[in-house]
Amino acid sequence: MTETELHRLTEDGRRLVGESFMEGEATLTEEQLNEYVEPMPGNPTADLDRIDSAVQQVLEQYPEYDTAIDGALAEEIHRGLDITRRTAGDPGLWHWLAVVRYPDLVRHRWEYRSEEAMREKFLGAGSDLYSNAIHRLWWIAQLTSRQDDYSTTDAVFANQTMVNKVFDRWFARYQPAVRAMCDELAGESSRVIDETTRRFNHALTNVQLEGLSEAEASEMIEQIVVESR
Amino acid sequence: MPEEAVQAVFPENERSEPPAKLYVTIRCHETIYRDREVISETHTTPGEYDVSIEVSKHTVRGTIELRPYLVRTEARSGKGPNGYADQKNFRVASGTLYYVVVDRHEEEERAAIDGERVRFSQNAHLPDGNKLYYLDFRNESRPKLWINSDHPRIAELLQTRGSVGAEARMRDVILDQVSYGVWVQLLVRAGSAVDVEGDVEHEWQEMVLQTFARNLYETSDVSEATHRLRDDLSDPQTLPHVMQRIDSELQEYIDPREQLIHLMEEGLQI
Repeated sequence: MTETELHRLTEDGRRLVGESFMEGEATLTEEQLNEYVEPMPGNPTADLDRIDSAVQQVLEQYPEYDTAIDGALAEEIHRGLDITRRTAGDPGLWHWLAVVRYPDLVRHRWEYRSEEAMREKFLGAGSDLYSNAIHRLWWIAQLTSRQDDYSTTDAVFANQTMVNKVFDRWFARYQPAVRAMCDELAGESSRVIDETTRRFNHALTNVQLEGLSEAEASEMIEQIVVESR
Repeated sequence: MPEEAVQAVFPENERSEPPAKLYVTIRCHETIYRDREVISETHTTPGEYDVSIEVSKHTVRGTIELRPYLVRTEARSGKGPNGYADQKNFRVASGTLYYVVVDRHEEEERAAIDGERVRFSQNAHLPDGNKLYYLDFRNESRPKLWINSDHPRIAELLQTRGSVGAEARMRDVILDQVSYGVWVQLLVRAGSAVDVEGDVEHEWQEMVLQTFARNLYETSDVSEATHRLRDDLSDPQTLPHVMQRIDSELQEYIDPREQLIHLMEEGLQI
């Protein structure tokens, strides 16, 4: 395993990302990028070789815009990027990964529908779990994995309704609740997922989210799932 | 925890041994982190609690929010509703929200403009009528934003500090509305204050132009953008077009749809 030093794209560097780059008609040269790429504070490293080969495999084996790409990559990206939340909270890291390291992957997974939507896939990040193409995979794996067990992560990515409905809600930031939600909803229909996440969110106007243990969250969600079927 | 809080949120027969736990929530938006530190398991009686919370720096960045909550630990059996929360884990009280600044950004050390909440009806120098806010340029070097607290409900809403629930969502929609009006004025004022050299006199003008000018003209050259803004604002032919650019840029920057959608989905439950 080779550890590679991680970098970040500076705020000014975001200006390099224009429409033609996002559409794949133009590339950014090392010379253009140099000025805007800097080492991450604290010099964290990661096993990018592992991610490189997983990405290469996906590009060769999966058709464009196939949502199954998410499930094929999430665990590999999370294992390869063994970083702290503090490091992962720097948007510049995700911008560097999307714009400099893996732009082909972003274009392969996400169809160019509008400049605004594609810009989010390259330059989103922060607390929005559903923005940057790579940040999204890492964070969902971070919130749903249990040490070496990625079964909940796999179940989530096997169902895009779950990805959309669960991770767009604020409760998804609280690990015990999001794990309970994903476990309880595995195998449920889109309608039940939609209804359950909406009703659970509504219940949180009275129930304090962080007061719930994973078992209590499961109990509450199980009841809502039964009522939603 | 004050005695009065227990009296207010628990029925009489529960007050000697309140079925409640006390904990502090730990939230960090930048690292998508939400956790809690339990201070007292049930029963939680009135009194002072010494709290020590250790948060690893590896898990946070920017600012952390800490806030105490009191929640019920069991459902209340017996007769029908009596005005008290009666379900397990229902929030019955909360305390002051504290911020711990982990990383201070240089540019955030001093706000560009001051703000104050005051009753407009009782201050002769503030506008008449039911204004929500007023941006005061009497001191051109440091503009001041006044928020009207004549309406107690609005004033109270604007003081809420949470990030979820109907009040927080409504507050964010109102703040978006205020900030749109404020930024338009700041941008037009700053753009009109640019001199022939492309310079401005005050720090806030510099900050506004650094933030917005390049995006208005889609250029990376702030000096070019600043000159163009000044020229466009001073020419009646280009003024309507630059106002449209400003409107578009501010909608991108503030993104009023986002908070409105949150309000509809979470606050209004529609």
